[in-house]
Amino acid sequence: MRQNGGSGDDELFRSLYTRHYARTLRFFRKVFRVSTADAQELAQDVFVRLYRAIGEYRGDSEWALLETIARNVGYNYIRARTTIKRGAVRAESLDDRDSEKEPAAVHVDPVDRLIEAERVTRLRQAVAELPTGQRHCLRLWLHDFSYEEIAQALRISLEAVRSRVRDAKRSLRARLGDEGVLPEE
Amino acid sequence: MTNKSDWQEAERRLSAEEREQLGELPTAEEMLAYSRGELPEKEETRIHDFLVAYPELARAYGAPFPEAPGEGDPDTVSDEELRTGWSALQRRLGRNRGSTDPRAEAQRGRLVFRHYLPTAVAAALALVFFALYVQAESRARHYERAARLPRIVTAPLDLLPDGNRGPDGAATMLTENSEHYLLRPHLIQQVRHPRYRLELVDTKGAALWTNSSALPDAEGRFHITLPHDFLTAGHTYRLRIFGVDGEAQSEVGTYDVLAPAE
Repeated sequence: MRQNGGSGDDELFRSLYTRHYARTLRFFRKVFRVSTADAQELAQDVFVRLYRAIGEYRGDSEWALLETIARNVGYNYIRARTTIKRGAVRAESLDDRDSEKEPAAVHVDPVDRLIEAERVTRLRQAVAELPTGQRHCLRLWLHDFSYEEIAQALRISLEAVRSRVRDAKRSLRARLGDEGVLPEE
Repeated sequence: MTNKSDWQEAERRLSAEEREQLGELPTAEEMLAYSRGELPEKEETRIHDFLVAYPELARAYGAPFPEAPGEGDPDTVSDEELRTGWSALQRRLGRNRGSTDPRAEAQRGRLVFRHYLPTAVAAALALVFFALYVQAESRARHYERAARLPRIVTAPLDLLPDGNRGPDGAATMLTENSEHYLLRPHLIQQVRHPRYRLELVDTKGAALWTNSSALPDAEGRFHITLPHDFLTAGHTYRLRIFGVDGEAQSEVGTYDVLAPAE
């Protein structure tokens, strides 16, 4: 791979940085939900990689090149975080941080807590036993993915997503009764 | 009806259990292959399992890139932030040259280029003139050196004045004698002049060489050595000899010669 080496490449690199830094930063903030400091670090990683690969840049689709690098940096970030977490205690999702916030100090009856825990277990079991396609779509939907985002992630049609989520909801209601009713959207 | 947060809690538990079993996340290369549809069905299902258990991976893969923040957008990056980011980037690349503003640097690059353009042209011209000077000096030294070297003088080429070379009167073709032509023009007139002036002109009459101190030998002949390089191959030249007496001078002979073509 040709490395960056010319003043022309330097000019191009400066230009790409100036035009796309903010957008790259925003990508990490919004998609990865990381702090501004982490987003800056990741954006820096993107431009370091871009600098090293700029010799391959042919002058077109600059955004495609940058986007590919940014997503790869994102994958590596997730992998690194997961590996660290796995080495420590357990494999965590970055999204788990949202649920780790300290709950408000309210008194909950231990019996109610037990009933609640059993209910969640039933829900978990019912979801786990859905057919694979329905389960995948429904779980991403529970993570607040839109149908379009689910279709994009699983590389299936929008119609397939709609029907699988609908079928999953029907199955859960059939199995759990009123307890298995999911909110529509 | 169960509220969505209960379902989400159930989903979190399920994901946590699955993550323990799934192992290492797919590499960036595997994700790229997945995005291109290059994975076999089994591998694709495995990627789906990861995407569901790690929703941030699904977002990283599938979420569209947000548009650049516009004016007034909270995600807008200020010039100061841009400069700070650029400086940090330069440090990471080991290229910290004291520059902090990528916009200013890009602009400076253009200005520097404009500033140096005339200098670059002048330098190029100076280089060309210097090369020409060196070439001329080298040639002069070559001739100087050659002039100091002994050389063999072979038979001279006798030249008769125009009008004495037969009916056609054509220019005499010069014949090469080593590095010089050795010419021996003859004076036909019996009248002797105190001094003579020799002149070599081209076909347009422009004088290429003159000499006012030469004297003929006892048989009325001049001896002239002419370097090959002094004449252009294939061109005709005229040697003119004038008799000089005080202020008066008269042409006593002309001799047309032709430098042989290469």
